[in-house]
Amino acid sequence: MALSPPSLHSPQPPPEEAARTGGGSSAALEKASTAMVKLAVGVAVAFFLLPLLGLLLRTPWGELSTELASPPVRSALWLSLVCSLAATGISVVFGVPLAWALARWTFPGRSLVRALTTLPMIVPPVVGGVALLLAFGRRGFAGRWLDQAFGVTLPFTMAGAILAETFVAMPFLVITVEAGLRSMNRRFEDAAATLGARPWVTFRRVTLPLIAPSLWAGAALAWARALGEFGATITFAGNLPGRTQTIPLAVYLALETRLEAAITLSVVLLAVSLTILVLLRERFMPNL
Amino acid sequence: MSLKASVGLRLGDLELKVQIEVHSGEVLAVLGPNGSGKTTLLRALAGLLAIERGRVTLDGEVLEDPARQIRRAPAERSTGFVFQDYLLFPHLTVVENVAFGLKARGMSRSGARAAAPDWLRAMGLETHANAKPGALSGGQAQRVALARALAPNPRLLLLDEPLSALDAGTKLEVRRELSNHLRSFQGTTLMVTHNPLEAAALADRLIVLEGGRVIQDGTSAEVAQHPRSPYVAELVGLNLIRGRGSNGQIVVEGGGLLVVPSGFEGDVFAAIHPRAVALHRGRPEGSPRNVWEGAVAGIDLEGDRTRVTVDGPVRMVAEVTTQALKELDLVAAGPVWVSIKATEIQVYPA
Repeated sequence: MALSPPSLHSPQPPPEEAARTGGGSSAALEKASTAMVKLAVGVAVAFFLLPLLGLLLRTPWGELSTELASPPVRSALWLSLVCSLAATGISVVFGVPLAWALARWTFPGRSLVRALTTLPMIVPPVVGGVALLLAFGRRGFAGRWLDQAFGVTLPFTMAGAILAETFVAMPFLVITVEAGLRSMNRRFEDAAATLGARPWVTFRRVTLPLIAPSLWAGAALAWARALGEFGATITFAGNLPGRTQTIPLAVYLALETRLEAAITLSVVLLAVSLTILVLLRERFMPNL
Repeated sequence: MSLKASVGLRLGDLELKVQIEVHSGEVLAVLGPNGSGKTTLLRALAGLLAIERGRVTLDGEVLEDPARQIRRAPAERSTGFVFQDYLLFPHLTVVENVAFGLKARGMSRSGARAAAPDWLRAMGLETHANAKPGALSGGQAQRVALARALAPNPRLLLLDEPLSALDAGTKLEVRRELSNHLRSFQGTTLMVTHNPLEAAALADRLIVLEGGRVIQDGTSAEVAQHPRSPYVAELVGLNLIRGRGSNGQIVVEGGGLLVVPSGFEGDVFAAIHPRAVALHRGRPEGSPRNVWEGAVAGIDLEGDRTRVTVDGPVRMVAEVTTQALKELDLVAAGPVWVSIKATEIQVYPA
């Protein structure tokens, strides 16, 4: 990802200002504050860079391919990709209509619904997992019904992992798409209507393409959130290798036993996320 | 075959109450100041805004009648709308924009693909078929907007300030093209504008909207000669005075007396061309019947002519040559005498 450093050189103070504050001391002040900003930027960049460096310096590059080929790593990686993509897909399917309703409909309790939607963003994921367990667990009210009516059990299954990831990821999609719907010029929809387009055609051929950048950004954020999800997943879906053990869970487990495996898994996750994010960014999110 | 509309609705501070009738092939200009309800009227006719009272019929077909709970959605009306800022879909190419309405109105993809280029040719845009709207000049975008609106062959064409987004250089050429297209259009056309010249060049007839009401209608020549509101008078550059006429005199609203050709009784308008208003530095001799003393309130230079506003018993704008401006030294302070011949005053019932 290309870092574009903010322009740090400060313009000369305008003459009248220099005159007001007394030229020399003002310039010195300007210089000092610029130096302070530079220092803060340096600390922030180092703060992000050092952990990455720590990871990369300890990576057993020679054994990376053998680690990658090992069945536990491959199954965790595979599970991570499948679950996070499924969670993103579900988020899009249900989140876009929800974003539409929040942006375009006025109904009593709309702000309540919006607060509810964003709750998973502020609640600790473990708490979310507990809540999911109490609702969709074998003895939860929704879970029992699902079990009796359809024979479906969610906790400690891959479907449960997907559900937990969707729970924490969907809010990112909803708020991003809602913002896109709010900021788009709705008169384009008027133009489509006068040309004979029914609401669904207008949505598909005008609204959706116009909010595409928001949709992609929201999907990318949701996907990134799902990929890194740990707390809700381990609480609700457990840590079963091959079924619910995604990379973050495998990393945590490996920390206890084999540090090399943990590092390898981390690097793999980092590489995958970074690649997809860069691809998406280039294509859809020049401003993100 | 015509549009008959009686539109009553409230939108914020605006209370729109308008009745219009426009025949097929006719172009009606809707003139009015900002906030007078021009665009609101167009949006209501297109179905983008619901009317609260009244009825809209197009070629005998009822499009909207709130009393009978009839309301056709915008997509179900045979309307073409050219928006002030065109609203070309930025993610579609020029040809896709033009084909949009054809497809939305049920033409097959291949049919629309085949028909759209004809419209582009008619508008001289064939070389830009695959360009995105962002790459077009203002005049080209205007032509695409017109082609997109006309392609589905609407029975009602609504144009909202179609030339206002263009710079002065292209405006004239685009206006000429637009005039040709409107002439060959078989349906009914309504065009919103605030430029009386555009209305005169493009429309057969015009209505003037102020505060949501039609305050005047007629041909542009009629409206220009007999303005019925200060707004129209200023647009066409006439002095307009309202008052009560009796025995060859008008008692001006707000004070003052005007001597006019006799024969007008009751509530009247008097229109005076600024050219008919003469200015002097001393009390003029001779026949003019309307003479009073005033003070210069403003001077506007317009090319080789100058318009001087004089405050007095009746506020009056006079047109003088630059030569006269110098000779009378109007820029300097001091009293100015205004004189108007009674025969130069056009009086008509209010």
